[in-house]
This record gives sequence, structure tokens and C-alpha cells, in this order.
Amino acid sequence: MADDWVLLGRITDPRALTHVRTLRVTDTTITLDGRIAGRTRDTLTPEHLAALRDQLLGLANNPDEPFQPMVFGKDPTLTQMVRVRRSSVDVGPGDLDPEATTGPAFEVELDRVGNTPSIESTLLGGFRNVLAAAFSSGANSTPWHARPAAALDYYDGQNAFSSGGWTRTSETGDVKVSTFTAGSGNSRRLARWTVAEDHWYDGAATIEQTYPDGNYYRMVGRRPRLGRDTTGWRITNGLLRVYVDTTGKLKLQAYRNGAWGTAKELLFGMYDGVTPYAPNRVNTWAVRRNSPEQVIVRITLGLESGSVNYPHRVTLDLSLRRGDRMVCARMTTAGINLLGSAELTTAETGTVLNSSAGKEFTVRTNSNDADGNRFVLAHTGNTTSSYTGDASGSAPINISMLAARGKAWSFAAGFEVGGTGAASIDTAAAMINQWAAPFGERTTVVGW
Amino acid sequence: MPLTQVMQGPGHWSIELDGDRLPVPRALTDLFPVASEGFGHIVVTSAQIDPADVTVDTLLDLATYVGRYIGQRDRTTLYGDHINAWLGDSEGKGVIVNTTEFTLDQGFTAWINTLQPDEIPFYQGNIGTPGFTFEYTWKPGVSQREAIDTICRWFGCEWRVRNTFDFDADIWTNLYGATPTAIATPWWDGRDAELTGIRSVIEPETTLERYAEGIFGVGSGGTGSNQTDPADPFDLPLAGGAGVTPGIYMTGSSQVADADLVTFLQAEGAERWARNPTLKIRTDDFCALDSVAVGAPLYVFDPDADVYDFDSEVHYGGHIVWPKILRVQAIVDMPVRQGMGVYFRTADEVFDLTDYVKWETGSTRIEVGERLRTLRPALKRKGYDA
Repeated sequence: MADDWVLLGRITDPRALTHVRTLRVTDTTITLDGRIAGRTRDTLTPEHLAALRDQLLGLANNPDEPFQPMVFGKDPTLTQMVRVRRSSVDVGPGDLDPEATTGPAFEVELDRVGNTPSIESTLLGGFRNVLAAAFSSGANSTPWHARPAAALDYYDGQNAFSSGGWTRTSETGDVKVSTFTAGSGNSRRLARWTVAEDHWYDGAATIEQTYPDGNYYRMVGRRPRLGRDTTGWRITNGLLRVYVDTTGKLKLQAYRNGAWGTAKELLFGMYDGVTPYAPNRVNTWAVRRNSPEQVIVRITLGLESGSVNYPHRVTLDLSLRRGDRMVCARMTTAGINLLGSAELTTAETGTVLNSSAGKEFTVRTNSNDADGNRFVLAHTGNTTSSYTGDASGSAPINISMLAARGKAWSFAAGFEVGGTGAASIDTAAAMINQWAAPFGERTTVVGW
Repeated sequence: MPLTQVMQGPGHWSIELDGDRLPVPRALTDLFPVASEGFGHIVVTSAQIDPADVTVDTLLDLATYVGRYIGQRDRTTLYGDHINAWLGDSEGKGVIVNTTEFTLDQGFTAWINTLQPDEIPFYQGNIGTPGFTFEYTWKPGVSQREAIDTICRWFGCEWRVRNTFDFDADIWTNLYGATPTAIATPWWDGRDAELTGIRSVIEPETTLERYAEGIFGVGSGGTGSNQTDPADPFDLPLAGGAGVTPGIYMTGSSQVADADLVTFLQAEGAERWARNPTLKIRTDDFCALDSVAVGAPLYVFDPDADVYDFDSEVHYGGHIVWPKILRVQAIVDMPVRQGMGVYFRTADEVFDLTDYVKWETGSTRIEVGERLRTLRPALKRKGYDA
């Protein structure tokens, strides 16, 4: 009975949900119960069990994942997309003891959505208005949409996306990126496609959080575990991994050639007109969205100058879409206006890629790093200058995000993977055009 | 029963008192029988305040809603209308502007001064100074609300009464600011540094019941060379229409040239009889009146219901969104929830009713839309009264 396991949503480890005891199917629903880690109870840590419990509970009524794939090992003909109506776990006092031979019992109620259904992606947007000034200087917006490379019959509804698309190789499977060629305005598009259940999470945007055993586990839903530490998480789409360290520095890693590269550190600065502040801690974190097509987390940063704390709330929202090579960020303050800046903590020379009328919007390092990539920083203009490091390489590249102090600003950071050898949609210039064309994506299933 | 505030309208409210398992003490209700204490004021704050700790002015300044007390049912249910009703209630009762016909030709501020006699218990707040003068002849017996509405319409202005009993009249962007500070969306709620989220269920409805392809205009006649002869009604095709005339619109202008009236009616008609959806917004926000003011502009975003507008790009909750901007016409049936404060204010005293209020639950309706167009743009283009 080694195949009495079920895979549900982001729980894709066959050791997780096992010992399926009853599986009742009606024409519209599936109800099943079993044991969490029943067979491998002794090989999993209590923290791993706790993570599985939280994942299972996060599946139900999840606004970010209205439908999720289900695979039943014993009977592959039941494989299909489902909507999880309810999930429960019995965690009695003995169930987490190391002596327990079977894991905690669980139960789920599912609505049947259909096998390999037709998926509709509503794409809204495609043009970042505030970047209009930059576009006049040669940049352009390139709206794009990524889906698992295993998807079939991709059609954008208007036959206006580039045919085929480009493949980006992610840690969790290939994604295919289609770009829309003309870019000078917002629109709503309906892309239609189909994908096999076991490829639904290929290159999916994902949040991972640590448990007390120090390991990262995928998060399901929007409720982070209690007792978390504010830096015990990272977001990833298999191409880019983003997290913060305890001092409030943003860290980014690129996935290339089957491995994650060395993290680059981005240090923020905030100037209130009197004193330059820098983050020195992360106060809170929260999840704003946790869908395969996009994840958004929010952190609040503590700023300090000398040993004086900045008294107002400063938030940093980090958004990562499936297939994106840049993380989109929005920083806001509820306090007095600030002048935001960001710089690499390593000294590297850089080149301005887009500028207009003395305003510089994007900058890229000149030389490949040890992993063969170059770093890219972009922001939404309004700046009078961004500094690119001096020729000697003794200063890091940095951007100053506003001409005047303000309460909010946007920026993006990522890697030109392949560096000087990058081509096509993976060059820094192309990535910036993609950042300039954000789509808000929502998925649903057609005809279930 | 809950609180309703309507832009430039009387609104209504009702509050039920409850002694838990025992009757409400007469010692409380004897303080404000409607027969003697009617036209006193009910004051609602979004958190309880001890009225002994603050002056009446401070209490009003902190208030979420101030209503006029005009009814009592079963001793313990109090009801009334919003203080706007001091200018004229839902039946048009209130202070009458004039008993004899008079004609004046003056600017906006002068008109407001003329129309704001001593009987009104309001302080004069911010009165705008739009250009031009306006000549108008008043027939006897016009209520103050009606008169101020007329004047405001002609000057492209609006009015409001603040909870502090201050009367403001100005163009709406001066009253409320042109940029919304809140966003109604089903996705998120709560206060961001940039916007306040109001978690809402948004139901757009598009109906062709009111759709018309043409419009039928009737002028009121009058003196001067620019009159539209009442005996000469005209019909106009709306944009794209064939000129059939199921809609009728009447205007009371003696100063608008035919061409301007045509322009105006087409704009007005295109808006009123178009195929645009109407939006119903319901929210579980704790205190919607605190999150967005009646009259203020509001972002509304629900792409699943096709409610978006690429003209405005804003950030909320880490998302980049393209919401519609709509004006809040009314906040309807806002529950008085546990945690709020309720007070009764007589001429010289404030009683705290909070401990005896029967708290309510449920959702609040936010009515949104554009104000109807006014004749003002047509007049301005023509340079009348300049």
C-alpha cells in the first residue's frame, strides 16, 4: 500500500499525506481522510509535521488559490484540479511525540474542478504610467506573461503575444514567457491555456518560511506560523530568490545552471532632510498574496541614525511574479517625507541604461559576477540623478529614487542572468522594459 | 437601525436603547422625551469618549455622525435625520428663504450670505469664491436647501455641513480634495501609508432600462435674446444615436443659448442614459464614515467585476492597481457597532447613552457615482455673467 498517498496543492511530497483510508467521490465532490506522514513518521521531525499541518490547513478557502491540483497515488484516474472547501487535522497530545508510530489524522473536503481543465488568466495593466518619461528616452514597455513551459494551447485571446515565447529555466521547472510587442498603454487580456496537474507549480511564485528546525517549508495561504522570526522567510519563483537579513538588507540570489548563486546585498538609505537613516532591523512581516502567479510580502523596517530610531512606520512591499527576473518593490512611510536610495554593499562600477533630461532610471553593473551574472536596479524616475559607482570601482552602484522627498517610491532589482552573454528577453534592457509593464494576473478555470 | 448620511440631502438615523434583560430606566429616557427635547442632537463617535472630559466643541469635532432628533418610538427607539436637514428636511420643510418675490444679481459669496439667515444654527465655514455673478428671481416659499442647491448648481459648487455645524460651500475639490484617500476593493482592507482600504463587495450592474438614443429638450423661456422658446422644443441625437427621443429633460434657464443648451443636454443625456454600469458597494468596515467622507472621491477596484480604470495608477498592499475614481454620494445604513460612543446633546447638556445602546452588526452600503452635470460649463464657455 505504498501508493496510498495524495498530493494536494503545494504539498507535493508523497511522504506527506498518506494512509488514505476512505476516499468518497461524488459527481461534484471528493472527501478523503488519512494520516500525515503515516509511513515515514519516524523520519520526519516534529517541526516538519507542524509545517505539513499548517500547509494542509492553509489549503482550504484560500483566496489566493481558488483551485489546486490533486494527485492520488493509488488511482491516477482521479487526478484533477480541486477546490479545497475544508481541511482539518487532529493533533492529539500524543500525535507529535517521537514515539507515535502514525502521524496525525487529517480530513479534507474537495470540490471537483476537472482533469487538466482550461485555465483563464485575466491580465490587467501592462504599462507603468509613472515611467512615461523614461520611455521617451528609448526604453519601452514590454508586457509579458509566464506560464509553465509544460502548458498546452497557450492563446492570449487576441493573437497578439509573440508566438511560442521564451523559456526560462527555474529551480522548480521551466517557465515560458510570452511578450506582447506593442507597449504604450494599459489593457485587459484574457490568456487561455491548459496544464497538467503535476506541472501547475513549475516556476510558481512561492513563499518559504522556516520552522524551528531551521528548514524552509513552502507556505500555503496567508497565515504565517506563530512564533516566526521576522526574517525566517524568503520568496522565490525558481529564478530569483529574495529575502531580508536581520539588519534590514535586501538579499537577492539568481538561479543559474542548476544552483543558486551568491547573494547580492542591497542597502537602503532614507534621508528626511536632516539626517540620513538606514534600516537596522525588520520589525514585522506579513503576506499580502500567495498565488502561483504572484506572491507579495510586506515587511516593516526599523530605521536608525546613530543610535536614534526613526519614529515612523516604514513598509517595504516585495512582489514577485511567476517567470520574473526582477523583484518589484514599493517602499512607503507614514511619517515625514523621505528621500529613498538603494545601493549594493559591494563596490562595482555600473552603467546607466535609461536616462532622460538629466534623470536616470536604471543602472546595471559592468562586469559579470562570480556566478556570471550582472545586477540590475531600476526605479520609477522623478530622480535627478542616480549614481553608478566611480570608474575605480571603489563605490557601489546605487540609485537615488526621488528628486524630492516623498512618502512612497517604487523600484526593482534583479539579475541579468548570463551577464555579458545574456540575450533576447534576458538582457538588462529587456528586463527593465518588462518591469515597466506590470500585469495583475488572476486565474480561474473555464467550464468546470 | 443605523446611520445614513446623504450628500446635500437630509439622511436619517435611528438608535435603539436596550437595558439588557431589564427595561431601560425611565431616569434615562425622561431626559429626552421627543416632545420637549426634539430637535436636540444625537452624536456618534467611532470610539467611546467620556463627554465630561471634553468640551461640546471637541466632542463634535471628534464625531463621526451628528443627527437631528425628531422621533421616538416605544420610548426607547430614537430616530431623526442628519443635521443637513436643518436647511430643509426630506419634505422641504425648514427655513423659508423669502415671503415675497425678489431678484438679485450677485456673486457666490454674496448669494450664500443672502441665503443664510440667522435662523440657521450653523457657523459659516469655508465659502468658495468662484467667478461670475448670477441673476435670479426667487418666487416666495423656497426652502433654504432648495435655494442653496440652485445657487451651488449655477456656480458649479457644492455644500456640506460638517459635524461641528460649520457650513461650507465651494467647488468639490476644495471641499474634499481631488485625490481619493481610500480604496474600496474586495481584496484587502486596512490603512496603508498611501491609502485606506475598505473591504467591499462590489456589484456592478449594467442595464439598458434607462438607455436612450436621443433626448428631448424644453427651455423655460424668459427674457433676453438667448432664450429657448418654450413653444419650440427640440430633439437631439445622442452620440451614435439615431435621434429618437424617449428621454425628456427640462431646464429652467433664461440665459442659455440654444447652442449651449444643446451641448449641455447632449453631455447630460449621454451620461444619464448611457450604458455605463451602476455600482453597488457593501462593506464590513467598522466605521465607513470614518474611512471616507460623504462627498469625497473614492477609488473603487475589482477587476473580477470589471471595475477598473487605466487613468489612475496607484499602489495598495504591494499591488499596482488601476481603480475607478467615483464620488461617494451617500453612506447608507452604517451599523452603530459595539465600541462606538453615542451621546445626546440638548441645548445645554450632553448625556452619554453608550451603555444603553443596542449594538448593531451588518454591512454598510456606499453609494457612488458622479454628480449630475450642471449648466455651469455651458455658461462659462459662453462667457455669460462674466
